[in-house]
Amino acid sequence: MRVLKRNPWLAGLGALLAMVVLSAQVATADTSTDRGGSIIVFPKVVADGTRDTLIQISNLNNGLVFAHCLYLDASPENPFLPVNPVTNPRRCQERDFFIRLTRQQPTIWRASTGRLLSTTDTVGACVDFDLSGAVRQNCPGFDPGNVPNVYAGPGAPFEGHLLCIQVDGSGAPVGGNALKGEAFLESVEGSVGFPVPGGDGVVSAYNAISIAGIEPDTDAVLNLDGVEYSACPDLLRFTHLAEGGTDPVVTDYSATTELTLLPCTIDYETQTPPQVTLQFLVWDDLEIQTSLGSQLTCWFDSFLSDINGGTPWDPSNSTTYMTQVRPANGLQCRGGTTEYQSCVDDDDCLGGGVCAPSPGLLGVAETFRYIAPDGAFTGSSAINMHVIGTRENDQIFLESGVQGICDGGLNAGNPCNGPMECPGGDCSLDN
Amino acid sequence: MLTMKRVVGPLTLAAATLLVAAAGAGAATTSDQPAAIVIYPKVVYDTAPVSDTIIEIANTSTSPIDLHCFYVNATSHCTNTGAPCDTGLDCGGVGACVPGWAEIDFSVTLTRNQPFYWLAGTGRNRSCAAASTCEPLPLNGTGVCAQGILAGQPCTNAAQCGVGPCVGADQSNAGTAVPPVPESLFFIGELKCVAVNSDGTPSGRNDLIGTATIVTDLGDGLIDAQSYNAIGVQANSRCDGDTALVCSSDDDCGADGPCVSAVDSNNILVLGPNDDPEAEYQYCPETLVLDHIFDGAPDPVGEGIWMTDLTLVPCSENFALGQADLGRSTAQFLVYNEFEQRFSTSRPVTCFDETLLSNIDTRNNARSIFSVNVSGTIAGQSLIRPVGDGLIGVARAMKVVNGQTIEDISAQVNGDGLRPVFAPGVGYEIHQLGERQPQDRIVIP
Repeated sequence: MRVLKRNPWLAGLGALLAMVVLSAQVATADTSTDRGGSIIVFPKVVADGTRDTLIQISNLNNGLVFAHCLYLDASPENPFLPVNPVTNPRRCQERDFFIRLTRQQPTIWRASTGRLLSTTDTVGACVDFDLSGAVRQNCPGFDPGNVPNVYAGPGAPFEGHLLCIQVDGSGAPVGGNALKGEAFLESVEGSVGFPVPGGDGVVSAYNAISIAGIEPDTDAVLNLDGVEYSACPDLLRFTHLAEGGTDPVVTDYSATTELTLLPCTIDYETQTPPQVTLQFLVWDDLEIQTSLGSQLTCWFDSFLSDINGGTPWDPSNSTTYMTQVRPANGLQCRGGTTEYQSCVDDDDCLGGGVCAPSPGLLGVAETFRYIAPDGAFTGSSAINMHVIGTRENDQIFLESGVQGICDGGLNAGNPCNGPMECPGGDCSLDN
Repeated sequence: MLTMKRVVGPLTLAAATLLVAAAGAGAATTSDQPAAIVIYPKVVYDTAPVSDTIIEIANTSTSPIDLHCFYVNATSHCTNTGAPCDTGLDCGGVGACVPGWAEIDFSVTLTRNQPFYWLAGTGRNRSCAAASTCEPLPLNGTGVCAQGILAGQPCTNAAQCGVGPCVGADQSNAGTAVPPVPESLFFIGELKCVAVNSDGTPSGRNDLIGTATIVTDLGDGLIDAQSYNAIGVQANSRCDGDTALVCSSDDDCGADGPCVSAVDSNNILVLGPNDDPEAEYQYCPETLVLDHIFDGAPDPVGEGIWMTDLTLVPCSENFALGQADLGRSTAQFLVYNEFEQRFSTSRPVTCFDETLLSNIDTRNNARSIFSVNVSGTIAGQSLIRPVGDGLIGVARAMKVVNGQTIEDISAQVNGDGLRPVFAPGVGYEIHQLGERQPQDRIVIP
């Protein structure tokens, strides 16, 4: 092992990293997948017995960093049936936990097992434990905290997202842009859904989406408005192979792409499933443009072939396509008792809600290869989407644990979680 | 470990101060926003096993865009046979395996909102020989009927509309010819594409997005696919009255407006910090931050171990002379494990560098600071700082599922010289930190 000599570059790097901490006030106003953030989002986390997800998070700063992490379980109420917004809706259940990372510390955990907080580590390998019937995992290194397991067996799969927010020791949101992350989606060996000869072989990776903290305040409403935090993108674009088309390299195989989206406005307090009308624009290589729509309820995860029958991505027209997705224009209630319902103005939003634009979107795309018509998936790869423009209207509502009463303004006397629910007044917690 | 001979601390602190002042405007290189230069750090073509790279590139604007693209062939060759090689053992132990650097360039035209692709191994042009995977060119864009009962319907000429013109059917890929990579057995290198005007001068249009997928047929029904987003370098706009200010609109400039493109018409593309009036394009990062699983670490999810390779390419390159006189750097590595313990090493990078992490500092992978044997933990964070020209890159994490240990892999690489095939694998982009102060330059013909 090398002996570490005092390196003047290290001292300079430490100063650089310290100055980066102080520079949070001048962060750029876009989401990013290759820079640190004060909020990091993993749009696609799967732990369902056939696939699992490795979550890797690092602290970019030279000081201790805390993070408040929230899983959102979007698996269907009946996991053995397809998702249906009426008969089998997504659960939209959140579960949160806290982690702490020492300076420059990386950490890793497996979504299905979580990671135990333990003083007994096996060097160089993670070890599974049966803890009262639940499979948990212990890994070497400073444990970031007691990270929960999200998979509880065949009847309780997990699919959804993970979001982590940089906080101080009291749990209040802070800036600093110290967090970065990656997710590895892997098939589980011997699983039914992704059988591959010779063992597991379906692995994809994507970078967590970073949202920079600019001047966050300490309340439980995170405004992604370019003032408190970076704004979400106005629209997403990505290129991909035609749906069901032949892979140009391995011509015996076809390709299919799965799109995963979540809204930028999420209410973890009420856990009301967000509703977003999606607008797609699709271009083939002859510039022919097709438009279509779909609906996001809580979390969107669909193969392109299941959106309008996959017609816009016909392989007979083009080998590659560019797809754009954005929320439909229009207003929705935010907060209150009519959350996410269409509105014209604040009067349409009951219980202290306000009428605001549709939430922005974040997402990833994953492409699989298979032998048509229904061969096993192999050769998967995931990409982050390209972002264009910004929307300054999104909010993340955390569990405040406290409810106030609007003091003055339009909603005077109504319950509230933050000042935005009290137009013309203030949300008083002195009750 | 190299000893730093210059006074680094105070200078770096000064650079950090500039970082704080300048970080508000501009975005550095980016892998998720449209840009004027797109860089694919890793392009692979191989025949054993069959492997090729799908290069996807798209125009996000409604105007056609011309590109000038450059392949860098970094394949090593034996001095005795000229055959491509990985190590001297590939040369029969007689010749030396010498890295190469040679560039070829070509032009591409993209029509409005057009997604476009080609394979590195076959290219794409009007007379490509490869059968089913080679699509014809030019692709003539469609317009829209302006009048009559077919108003709004796609068309390619007025006759299709019956009445009135076919508006917008004037865009075409004519002039596009993408050659195959210049190696028939094995190719490794990078690709850079620059948005240009019709006369070949840089245009500074931030309209390009790109993705690369390296697909390998491993046989027995197993395919490996590894994707990454191309790294974009955005062109700057600056306030006409104060060129030290980067802007995105006239409102950003106020009295120092208007906001105008900073890209001039000469063939030297200057990448630099926001407060440098000469910087026509965004800066390369001060530091790259790579999260990785330590080599040889068992997979927490399933069977096998993980290995990661890192590809680094320079921000500066001279395509005009076709010489590798730019793009030399020393990459300094600072490696942290999950116990906050840190190690360091460095490695020279000349024009192109692809290596397993655990071969950065040693030929014995099991004894590397990047191996689980030394670090003791699964996850690691490595900070990579270039001294010399700037660096960007991508990473690939690969599983070894045949029961091999890192010691076995080390022996294989150093013994019989065979290139291990690791699969399945994933590609992912490397994070960036800080604003690089020295300029980087890309010189185009």
